[in-house]
Amino acid sequence: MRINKNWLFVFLIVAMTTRVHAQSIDWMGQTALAPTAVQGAVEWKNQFTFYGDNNEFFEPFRVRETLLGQQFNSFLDASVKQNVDLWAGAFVDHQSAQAVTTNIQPIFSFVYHEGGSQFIFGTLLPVYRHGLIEPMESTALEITRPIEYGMEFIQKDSFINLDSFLDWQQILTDVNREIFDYGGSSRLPICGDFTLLGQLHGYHVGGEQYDGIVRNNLAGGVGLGLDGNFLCSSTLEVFGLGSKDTNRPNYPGPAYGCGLYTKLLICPDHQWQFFGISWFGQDFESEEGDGNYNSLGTDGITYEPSRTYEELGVRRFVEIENGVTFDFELRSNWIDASWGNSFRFMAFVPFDVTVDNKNSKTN
Amino acid sequence: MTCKVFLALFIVFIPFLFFPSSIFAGDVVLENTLTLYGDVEGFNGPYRQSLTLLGQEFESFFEISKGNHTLFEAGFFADGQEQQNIQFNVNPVLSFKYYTDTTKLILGTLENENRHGYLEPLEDPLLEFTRPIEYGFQWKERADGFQSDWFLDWQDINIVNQPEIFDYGGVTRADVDEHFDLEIQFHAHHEGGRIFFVHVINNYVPAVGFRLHGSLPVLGESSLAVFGVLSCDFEGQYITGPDWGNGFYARAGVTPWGLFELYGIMWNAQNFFSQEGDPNYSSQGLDPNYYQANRMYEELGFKKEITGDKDFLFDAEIKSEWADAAWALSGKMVATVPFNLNIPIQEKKKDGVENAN
Repeated sequence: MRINKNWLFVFLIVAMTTRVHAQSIDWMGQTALAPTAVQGAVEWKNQFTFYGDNNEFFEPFRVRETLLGQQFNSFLDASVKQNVDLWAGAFVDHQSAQAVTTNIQPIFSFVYHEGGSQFIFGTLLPVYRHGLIEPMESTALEITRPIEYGMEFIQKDSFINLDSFLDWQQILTDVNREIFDYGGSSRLPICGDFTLLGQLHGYHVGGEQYDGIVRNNLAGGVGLGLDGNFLCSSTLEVFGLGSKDTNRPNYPGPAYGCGLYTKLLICPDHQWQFFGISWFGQDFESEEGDGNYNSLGTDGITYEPSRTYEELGVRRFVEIENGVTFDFELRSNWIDASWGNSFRFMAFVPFDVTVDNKNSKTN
Repeated sequence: MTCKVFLALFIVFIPFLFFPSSIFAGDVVLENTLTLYGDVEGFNGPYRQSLTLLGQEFESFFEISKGNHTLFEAGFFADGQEQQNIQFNVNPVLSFKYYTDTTKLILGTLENENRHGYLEPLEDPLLEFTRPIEYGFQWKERADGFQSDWFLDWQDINIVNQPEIFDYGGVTRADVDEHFDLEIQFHAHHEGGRIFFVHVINNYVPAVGFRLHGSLPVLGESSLAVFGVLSCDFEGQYITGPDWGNGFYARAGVTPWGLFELYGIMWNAQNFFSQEGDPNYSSQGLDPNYYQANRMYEELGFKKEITGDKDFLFDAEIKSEWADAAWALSGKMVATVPFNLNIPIQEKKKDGVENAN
């Protein structure tokens, strides 16, 4: 990829973001309850997502790639009981190219919801990677794995914000090992502006029915968040993380690793978000984490026990009209001693229709 | 794309047709366009092979307005070549458009009618049939005395043994006065990608020129376009000649008594190569060993357009071509029939209240 394409991207995005009127919306990257249908009603929910993600990394830790495409999920949300919804529909992902396979997947979910609690069984539509930070789950998964299959429990109230999940990726056959990942994030206000933060992510490859490799990767940690009024609104989050990797073939590092993650967010006018990330890692390895935080390179051979990574970025997330939002992020990345850059833009277009008004009741 | 995908797309969109009529009261349009085309390329020489295309294209998508500045489109595009055992190539249409009175920004499926306005040396007119649909992003501007169309079209993603391929560029035209326009064009083609190591190549073709247009007695609507064109090809498929080339392009057209357009094109080039341009304008032949540093190309043609108040468009063209010392006859015929259906749908607002339109 050459710089001229990047500038074309940036020019388009700046043109788009300067022409829309920014509004204050929930854009802080926290997980959220899935919206459910009005009691007794059937709603046809559609969301179109247009995405572009590009990174210019030359280090061996994360693949340099460009993602450009469109996604579309469309499903019926039927409120069958007071607290029970059923989802049925399809998800379509089309990468921008002349001859590519359009990926189509089903959406089937059972949703139980009561107050701030929600249990989803079947297809999951994760928001912000279940609240997991970059070393635990790469941000690229928001584009490459926007839907998951398994179960999820979300609790969002004044006591705790919790998103826990099990995502089944591959079933066990005579040629494939079973693969699933699990974990979650939590935010627990403790006193004043302080929040106790928790993160856990596990990745399992195994299956007993057929012989084969069984390996596990587990990463997790606790942190402290501080909300302040510096430059209007700001948040500081510090996490101490640990990782354990077992039975990975030819793994050159030790089983245990650790890292210190610090992120500062500044929102000067609730329209723009400026952020900085600092990372110190020692033999840290998270299977689905951003490779820039890991000690093992993408080739499976390169290994750097002590890692540093810094990121500076700016993000603008605006609601254009009627729920149509546009999200743009530009980042400067320092991977150990080398520099890279990356950016992302996403446009979300919801379109919901109430299918059966006659039977709908108000909650 | 296989018919299975077409079927899946059909199933996704079929609920529109069976929902109770009580929910239809909004701003949704089902846009359909049927295009029948035939194209005969007469040259079977060193620069391009003779070719006959005969087929039909069908595009159908829902255009859904989200307000005063945004809309999105969802549907499909099918293209099939005429034969007994016809097979359709089906691609999705998925677009997000942000627009004002003068600006349009597009993500997803692009608007690429008339090849974004490119001259033939920059983009081969045949691409209108062989690449009728493009994906990427686009910025279009249309104001008094100014129009612009810039885009990035992603053609192939980077997978094993396949480089990523995209082309990008655009056309900007500014009216100096009622009859005189200045215009710049730029087209680039890139192949590369780092996930799987593949050779990186780039081809850049800029052009600058002017257009004179107006109505003349007897000759009717008349035009003259003159452009200077450059090409540079770095480690690309242009392997015989030097990296840099140039060309002079002139096109003149008259419409005697308003019956048809009679036009002529003159091209004079040195070491010119455009990856996606009409090969008749290039210095390198289909076989890279065939190379003519100095190139001449002329074209004389008749063009007739019949339009019926947005009901249909019929476009027929026949041209006589001289490439260096060789001669050939080519032509094309295109019939386009749009038909739109208003399907107003009530969108549910966030608070559960329907949009009142």
